[in-house]
Amino acid sequence: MSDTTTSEVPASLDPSIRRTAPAVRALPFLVALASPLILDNIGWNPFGGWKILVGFIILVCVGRFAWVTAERDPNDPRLALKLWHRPDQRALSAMTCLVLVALPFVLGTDFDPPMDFPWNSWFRIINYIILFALGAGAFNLLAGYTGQLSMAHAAFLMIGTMVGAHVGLIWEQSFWLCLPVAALAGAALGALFGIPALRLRGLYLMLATIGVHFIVLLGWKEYLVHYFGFAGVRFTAPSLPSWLHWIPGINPEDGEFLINSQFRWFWLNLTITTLGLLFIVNVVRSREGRAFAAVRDRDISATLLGINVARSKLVSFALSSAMVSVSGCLLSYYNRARSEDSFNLEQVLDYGIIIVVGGFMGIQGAIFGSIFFFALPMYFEWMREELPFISDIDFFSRYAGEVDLAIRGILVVVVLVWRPDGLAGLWQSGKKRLLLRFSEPKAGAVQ
Amino acid sequence: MSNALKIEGLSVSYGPIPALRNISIDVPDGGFVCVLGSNGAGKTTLVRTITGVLYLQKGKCTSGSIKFGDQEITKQKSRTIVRSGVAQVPEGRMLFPHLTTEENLRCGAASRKDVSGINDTISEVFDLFPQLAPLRQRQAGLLSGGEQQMVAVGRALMAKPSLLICDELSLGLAPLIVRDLFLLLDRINKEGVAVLAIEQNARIALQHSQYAYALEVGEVVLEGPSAELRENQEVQDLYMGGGGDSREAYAAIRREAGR
Repeated sequence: MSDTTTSEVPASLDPSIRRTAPAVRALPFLVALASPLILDNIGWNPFGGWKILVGFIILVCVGRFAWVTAERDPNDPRLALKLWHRPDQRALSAMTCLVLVALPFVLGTDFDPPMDFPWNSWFRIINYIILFALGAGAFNLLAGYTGQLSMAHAAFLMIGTMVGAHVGLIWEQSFWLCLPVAALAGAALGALFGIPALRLRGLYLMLATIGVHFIVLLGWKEYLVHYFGFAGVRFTAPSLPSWLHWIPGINPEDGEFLINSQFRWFWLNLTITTLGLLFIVNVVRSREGRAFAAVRDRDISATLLGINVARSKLVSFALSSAMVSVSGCLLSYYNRARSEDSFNLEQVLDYGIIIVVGGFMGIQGAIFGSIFFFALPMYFEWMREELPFISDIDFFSRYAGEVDLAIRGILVVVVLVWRPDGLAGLWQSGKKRLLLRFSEPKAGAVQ
Repeated sequence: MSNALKIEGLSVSYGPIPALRNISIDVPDGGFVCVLGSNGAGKTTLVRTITGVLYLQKGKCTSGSIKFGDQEITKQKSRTIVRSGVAQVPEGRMLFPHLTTEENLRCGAASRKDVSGINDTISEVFDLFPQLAPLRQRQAGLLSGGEQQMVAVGRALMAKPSLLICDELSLGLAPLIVRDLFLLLDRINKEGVAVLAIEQNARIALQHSQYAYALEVGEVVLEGPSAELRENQEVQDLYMGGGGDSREAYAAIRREAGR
């Protein structure tokens, strides 16, 4: 089967094959986006609502999959730019999708595990993991990919919360408007607060961004006092827009579908985090993303190649801040309440721990780090209360919080000494070893 | 013959300290020119001035002009200079160690917008350096010195330059690899790319170039066709470790230039 493919000139080397202009390539997407509106206006919409758009997205995914899986020259330079171009990557993401879809249904059952394992509280933890993975991924884009150590992370969580409170509660607009407004506000302010990065780097930039944190903290406190009083903000549950009510499993009460349970939040958080992380993964593989990495590795070299270093830094700040403020808005609505001391500098350290333990490079680091950060304390608590021998030790229950922190600290040290590239590095090397083990006998059989 | 690069009366200083004084260098279209000089002669300053990164070391161009073709590129932004067709292989390679070989090459095309053209150039670079093809997904920081230098040259070629500036190509490399690299430079030169090689290794630079300049304490002290300079006793004494009184001659010429 490979006889024909090897003799042919790969498409990338064939000068007669030229890509169409980006505007032309975007045309079908724009038509598909506008199609529900157009069809509704004509008065003929046999599919109803937005199904045609979803159908188009599925079609695009299938097309992408076909492109990636088609037999082609492994040296085709376009291949390395594609997402999931290796079979193991595809298998793994399919498995992850299945697990994630099954997870809420499994957690929603009345299953009673032995030894009072806190089955139902895991739902809350998993929602937090998903939300923090988005924030940590965005932090990683700035600190890991572009190499700009920023401590203004919590500041953008505050900005997202303020936008969410103002647009959603004071102006009484829909929750779905809050998210893009939060993204825009975060991007604009992020580019503004990123300006010190043009001159400062490393520890100096970190100190400058701590300044940003306290400026925004002052703004947040003033905002709270001015609009909401000392008790803090109480957010209302968002309701799903009516044009999405056709989705199976959604049965609105009184024409409204409120996102008010862990099960419903799970789907919302998962959707937004998946979109956000996919966005980061795509940015990283683009021209802009390579420029980020070039600026991080050697900015002089990047300048010499014609990369606009100042622009790259500001774009990275803007993208990261936009996503952090979206995650801040989501977190606030999920949390229901935010007060004066909800955002302290410690939160930045939390995100820092997540990406350092998870692994600085890559989106996996953000996910593994969030799991480490939230799942472990929960697990410790259960061990302390339920496991024999351990629950007998008085010391553990007396200093519960401190013991948790100490064990977590020890684990951070262990992980970092063992694998400086974090849990993601551990995962990668484990996967590689596993793949080698499975591929070895196969190679021997061919010989 | 028209000139790819024409430097006229260039003077550069770092604050009160002059680094280059009244330098004039011509690189003809499709020519291969080398600039020789020992440490502190001003070679790196010269390259930084051409590629527009002098401001990073707070240097200032006080007089003179640099023309690339018909275009005045003195005091231009480096991305403008790269876009007009000057690419540089920086001193000490300066690859992006955490990116793969292929990503490094793609970074070199940062000044270009044509996606399919970039893919074609990547294939061309791998044709030019077949050793790199199996290493395309390897992190650049893990390559050997010679391979890294090849990636650095390939990265510069990704911009499709009409002038390639090589700063200390031979730095820290084995003589055999240096020879291979210069043979490749010859090949690139034959395809119509003008080459300006800044070198300490005079022997190999004079072998491959057509015209040479010798820089000493910020001034051009010698120039001529490379074949002639190769025979020149003074050059042999100064840069090739020739006769017995080379040290003395070197000291004399430095004294003279410093005055």
